[in-house]
Amino acid sequence: MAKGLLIDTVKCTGCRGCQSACKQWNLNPAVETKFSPTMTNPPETNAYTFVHVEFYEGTKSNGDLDWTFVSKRCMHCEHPACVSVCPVGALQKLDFGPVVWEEGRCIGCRYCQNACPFDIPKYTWFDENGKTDPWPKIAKCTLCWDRQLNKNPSEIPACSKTCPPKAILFGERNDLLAVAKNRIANSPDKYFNHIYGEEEAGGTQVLFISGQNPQAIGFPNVEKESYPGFTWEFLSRIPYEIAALGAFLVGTYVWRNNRIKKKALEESAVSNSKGGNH
Amino acid sequence: MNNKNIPLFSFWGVVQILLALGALGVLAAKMIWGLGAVTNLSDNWPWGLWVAFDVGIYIASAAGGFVLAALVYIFKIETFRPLVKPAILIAALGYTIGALGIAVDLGRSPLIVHPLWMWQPSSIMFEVAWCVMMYLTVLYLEFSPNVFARFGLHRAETVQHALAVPLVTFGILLSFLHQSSLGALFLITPEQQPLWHLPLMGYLFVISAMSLGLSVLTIFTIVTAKSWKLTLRLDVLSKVMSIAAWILVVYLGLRIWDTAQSGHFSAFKFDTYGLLYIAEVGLGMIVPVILIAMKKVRESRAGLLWASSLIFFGMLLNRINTLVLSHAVYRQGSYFPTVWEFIFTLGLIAGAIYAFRLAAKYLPLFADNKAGLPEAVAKTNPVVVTA
Ligand code: SF4
Ligand code: SF4
Repeated sequence: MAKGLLIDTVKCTGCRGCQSACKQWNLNPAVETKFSPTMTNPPETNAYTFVHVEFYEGTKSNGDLDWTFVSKRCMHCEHPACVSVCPVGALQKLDFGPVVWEEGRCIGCRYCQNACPFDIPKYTWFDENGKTDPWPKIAKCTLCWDRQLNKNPSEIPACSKTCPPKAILFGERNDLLAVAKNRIANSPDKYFNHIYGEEEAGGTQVLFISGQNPQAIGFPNVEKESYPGFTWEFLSRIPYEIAALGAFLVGTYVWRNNRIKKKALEESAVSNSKGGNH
Repeated sequence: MNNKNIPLFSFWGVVQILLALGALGVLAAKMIWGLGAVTNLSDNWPWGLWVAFDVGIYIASAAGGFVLAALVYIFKIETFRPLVKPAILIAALGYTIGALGIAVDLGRSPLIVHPLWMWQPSSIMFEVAWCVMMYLTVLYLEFSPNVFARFGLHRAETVQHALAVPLVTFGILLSFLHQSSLGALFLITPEQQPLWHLPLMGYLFVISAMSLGLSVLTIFTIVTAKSWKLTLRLDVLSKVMSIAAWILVVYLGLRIWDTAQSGHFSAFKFDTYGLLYIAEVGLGMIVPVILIAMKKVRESRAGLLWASSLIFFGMLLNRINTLVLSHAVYRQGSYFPTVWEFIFTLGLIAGAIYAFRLAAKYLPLFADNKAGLPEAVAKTNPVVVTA
């Protein structure tokens, strides 16, 4: 089974350690940013910020201010839409979990950006200095596949390693699901009863639990089926349709040809018999 | 061969050349500075005006080529022969600018050849890439006899003639395959505005493209005949547009059934989307069908021009809605194309029209169309109308 992350927003303190650790490990430059109406900064993930802590302001039952911090990144879907649409196989799902992008293949069609239900793949329209990039890249969280592979013993993803309150757990998806279920069962007053990612888009490698309804903290309400299935249904019918259409065309052609020949024969027969009468 | 009626540098000819040069300029700028410099695309709006036209309009407009080829070569209806050559040329040009547009719209244009050996068959885009490449080849082969005839290559002409029917059949299969795939590109984005996200959108795309293709052929024929003073076979065009209308009826029936059975009509409100929907389906589809159903309209040049232009408008809106606007519901921010995006889009169209002009002038494009007949001849043959 592949590994993933369990992100517990109840434990998260909003320190943005994951955001910085990710930047450091991936050698992502700082980019100029604006404050958003909330404290979220930068306002959205971008090509140089793979992980991004979103701040959501709410109120507790006693009227106190209540913050939820959500460390967002690629969900590393079990059946990733982005992988299934990429015409050249530049995006791949590795068997141990990560969905990664290969620079040498990508043609820059940006179909992956359209297809991802979580709006994750970003594009380097501009470089870190704000200049336009003539040779842009797709950029997104890699689940630190290189850390998982390169070291011996392998290192866990940078965000998880750095998280002071251990709000980001790394491990086998099954184990993480068990932990999540446990936490929800043990403190039903603290947690909203939903593991985001358990079923979303057919299941993802990254799981979230939180005190809030997922939609209240900016998670899209995506379909439960796996996304590649939507197009596969269409693609798998094609061979039959082409065979049927081909048979129809050839059949029509043969039939029309015969009719025209027969007509011509009849006509010449008529004119022959007429000729005989003379 | 040189059709003296066709001027190379008329007012519109010069406009077309200028626009095409503008498009070349945008192309150069894109290659040097990248997409960010010439477009308003962003992470929130990765696809915009260019995609809507490349895959939505240019390629769909080309569908007249395979419909006409099917009518004449497979169904053997000789009535339509005068229009086959222009239809195939329009198709070839449509695909050429479609492919060119896609190439420029890619972030890494020179790598457009990657799908040739980097296969990912579960991707609809991969399939589209292959079909477009193969069909472009087929179209130029279908068109080649005009060039052979021009240069007197009779042996090549004979070979092409023997291969015509298999070529046409293969072309029809390819067209079906990828015109429908272009619609199916968006099956994977169920978050789209539901009026434009339908389970059968793949099939709807290919059917509507057939109607659009015939309309574009009609517009081209009428406008060029008028401006170059060529004779016009109005009788054939009325039949063409009758077919286009029937196809549109089938399309509308299927689309309405599909929307109803998937429950997407509930998304209809009198907001911007509702208005777009009414403009698209009402003005651009239902009205032209009614127009064509009227004999007087169907048999007049102005009537046909109106009806075909309305269908063109409806399809244009349909593609822009499906490919761009209907995605706004789940995206942040806004997108409006830059002036460069408009120039490039118009420039591709203008370039294609100018290429059509060149072909009409120097190739036997209208040889079966009794083009350029003196008025006296046209008068003795009432189905031929002077422009
Ligand atoms: S979240 Fe988006 S980018 Fe990440 S694996 Fe899923 S589809 Fe791909
Ligand atoms: S932009 Fe690159 S990675 Fe994304 S789908 Fe296109 S080729 Fe694949």
